[in-house]
Amino acid sequence: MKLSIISEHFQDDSSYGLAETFRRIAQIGFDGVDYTLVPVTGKKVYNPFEDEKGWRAHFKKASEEIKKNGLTCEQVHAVFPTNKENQGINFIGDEEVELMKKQIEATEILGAPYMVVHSINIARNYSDLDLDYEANMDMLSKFVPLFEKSSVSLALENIFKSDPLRDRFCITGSSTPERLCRLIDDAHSDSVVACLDTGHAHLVGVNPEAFVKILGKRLKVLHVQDCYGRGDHHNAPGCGNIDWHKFTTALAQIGYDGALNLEVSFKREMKIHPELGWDYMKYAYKAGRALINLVEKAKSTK
Amino acid sequence: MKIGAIFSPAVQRHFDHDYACKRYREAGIECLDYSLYGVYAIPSEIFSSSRNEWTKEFAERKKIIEGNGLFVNQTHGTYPTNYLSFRDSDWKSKYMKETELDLFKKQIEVASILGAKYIVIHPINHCKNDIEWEENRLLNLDAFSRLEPILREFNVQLGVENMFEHDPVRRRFCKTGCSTPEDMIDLIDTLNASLSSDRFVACLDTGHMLIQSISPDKAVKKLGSRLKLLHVQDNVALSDDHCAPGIGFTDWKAFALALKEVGYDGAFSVEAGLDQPAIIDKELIFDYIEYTAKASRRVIELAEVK
Repeated sequence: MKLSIISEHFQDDSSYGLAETFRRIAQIGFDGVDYTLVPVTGKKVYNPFEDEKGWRAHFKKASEEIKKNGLTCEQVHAVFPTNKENQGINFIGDEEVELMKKQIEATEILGAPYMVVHSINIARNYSDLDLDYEANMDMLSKFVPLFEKSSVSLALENIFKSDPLRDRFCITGSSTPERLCRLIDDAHSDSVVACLDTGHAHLVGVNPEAFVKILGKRLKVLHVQDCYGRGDHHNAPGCGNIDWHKFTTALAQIGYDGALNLEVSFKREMKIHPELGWDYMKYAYKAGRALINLVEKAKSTK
Repeated sequence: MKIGAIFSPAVQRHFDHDYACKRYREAGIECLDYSLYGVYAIPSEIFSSSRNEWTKEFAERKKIIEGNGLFVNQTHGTYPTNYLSFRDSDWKSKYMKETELDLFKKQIEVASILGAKYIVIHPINHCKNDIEWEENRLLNLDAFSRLEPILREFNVQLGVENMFEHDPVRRRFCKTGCSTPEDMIDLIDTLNASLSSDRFVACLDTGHMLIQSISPDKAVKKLGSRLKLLHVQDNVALSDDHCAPGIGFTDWKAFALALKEVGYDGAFSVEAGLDQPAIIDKELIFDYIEYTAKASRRVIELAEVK
């Protein structure tokens, strides 16, 4: 099983830049990367697609640097939110479709088989479930034909929502395995698969291992991250209270054959010192390898 | 400033002292916060053995620790301090029992054997928010006063730590008898003045303080010269996560500057939770300790950056 890591927080030029980022990721020992198409560093958004003429060259450069260091691009992360959630717009318009076309092309340049796309989040607990489903199916109907023409699959991720009335996080339209399976299955396309974010599941009281078992063969992509169930903190495994033995056993049980991808946040560590982000990544690497060992052990005792 | 780390029950359970100390030193740790407790509310079995046995054992451990280039800066006693009565609802039943006092006598002596200047013995947590705070204060003044002659005998100082409680009605963590810098100062100053003593100092737990919505740097400034030891840990201000610095929301630059401002001359000792990494793989403890050592150095450096 390959071990990959998110490159956001490091990859843009205001941070370490592409060449140094992938050199160091390879040096730590990772096999692959999870490339963020539009990274946010600090409060600044680095959107290569704003450069109409230059964005393809940017991704070619990124691809070259990834390959030069013996890494593979295991997956990319699309811009989120997928819809104009912050403007109160639920349904996907022409602007998002055009952006998605570019993102698919960029993913192909990077050679990644999967693009993680956030589901649209409208439902809170059991309210607005129908509208949530309708908006997600609308999104999939517009995006899936684009993916089907490409070498990239759309990996739909489980998301959560904040419930301001009850001052807590809550489930939305993709937060439970059953709801995520329904969206994927109703897309009726081999180009739609599941991305499980372990922390998002834990945050809303869904066991990641239960998620794995129900997703089964749909599960192709992971966002492995830990938390204490009180916030979406994207900690390295072991810096939270997810039961990793159960999770890795479940991966072995379903025959998961994708990468073990760590979606750890380095922002807070890098605020102390940029180099501390790398030190935390070294710990994350060891934790990731330990999880892979647990998967292999579970496979051998199956 | 020396970099320290908790030498926790998980470390002591999984590894022999020589191997663990070697790995701590390699990871960049210079001194230990040695845990004398094992399981919550249950004293370690070693203290049931004869005095001759446990004194010999800890003297041996000290040699191993020092042989690996480390020293014990501080120890941590069994908790909760009133482990025989902590579930009782009546505050009067929570006065320190002779059995508890006897255990802490042994643990203070062990701190001395290990060469530690300090032992942390938790204040008793009785009140939630301010209800029965005065009664809680009496419990702590009584317990610590009874420990004072022993501290004096073995030349060990007691780090009074800031604690928290859980409020089940409001479903959140809350203040208890010794939670704020003012609570700590009150206990330390009252005990030292009334007993003509210098045995009581402050141990600031950064994470416990953040849970109370008090920034650790502000606590440092209020504690001033009373502050002699630390439990450095990070969290997201909601729960007692005991993460290494950087993994939570603490303002570490402000904290480092505050330590510099008060002239703190103790160790930068991290009390990170090691159980969770150990569950994945016991060796992962040392990778996490290595990160905590590096994070500690970076935090200390923040006070030097203009």
